[in-house]
Amino acid sequence: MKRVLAAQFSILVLAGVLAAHEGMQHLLGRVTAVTESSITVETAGKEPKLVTVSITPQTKVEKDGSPALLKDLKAGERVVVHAKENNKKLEAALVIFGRPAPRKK
Amino acid sequence: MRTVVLMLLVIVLALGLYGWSVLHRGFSAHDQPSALESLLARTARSLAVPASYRSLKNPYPPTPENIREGLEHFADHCAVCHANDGSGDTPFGRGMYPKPPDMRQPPTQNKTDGEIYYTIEHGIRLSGMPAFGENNRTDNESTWKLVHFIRRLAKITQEEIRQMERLNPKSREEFEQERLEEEFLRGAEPKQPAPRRHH
Repeated sequence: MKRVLAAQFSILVLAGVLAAHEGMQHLLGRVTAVTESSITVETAGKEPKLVTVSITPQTKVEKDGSPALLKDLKAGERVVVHAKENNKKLEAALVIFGRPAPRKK
Repeated sequence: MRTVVLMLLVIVLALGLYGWSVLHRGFSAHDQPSALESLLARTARSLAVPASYRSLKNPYPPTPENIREGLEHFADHCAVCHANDGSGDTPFGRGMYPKPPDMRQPPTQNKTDGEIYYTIEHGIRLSGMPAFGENNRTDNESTWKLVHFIRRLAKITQEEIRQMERLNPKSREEFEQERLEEEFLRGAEPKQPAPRRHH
């Protein structure tokens, strides 16, 4: 029960930097660690937090507006992660870094 | 004679029980149509397309530019129900009765150009598919380009889906969120987006 409450509290604390979209949370920050199975991000904002997001086979990765590989992402880079909560763990649906794609007018 | 009466009684009883169960549980768009209902609906839908349309061929060539225009049109107008990949797996699509078909599959891909064109222009009665055309035009350029894109759905790439995600209609909040993310990636310090949840 304590773990559940702690997890819920953590999510509430992160609400300032995580915006939700169709159950999707948007995480903005700098990469502190990246492996084949997870990314750890230090969230931007006044109260930075370290958040680890799992990588799944469905995770899409995009650099400079084009599909890319996770190995292209390096520690220290700015990153935006769209993640969904699954069994109290965040799973990345989309990882975006580099220059954003130009917007269609 | 007695056997016939008995059979009729059984049928009436079975229909009565079915009717009672339907009234008891009610109707919901969450349900999947039964096999019989699907067969009847597919047959009726097939008969609804006039022979003159069925034989129409797409007058526009499947050039990358024409397919691209179809993609943009689909992302803006159709994907909200049909999904960018044509699967129909969207909040609107899942809540419809009947559900939008998976357009990547043979039941859609095997239709003629004219059948797909007719469906877009004239809609499907008693379903969520509206008629987007005017009168009985057979020369609507944007609809014919959509037909090309619908053919493309069977082998759509992840890159094309990402292009479409940028073109999907967005609420003001989604637009603002996207702008904040782009500014952050360009080096700006993030402003705090308001947390929100919606369907």
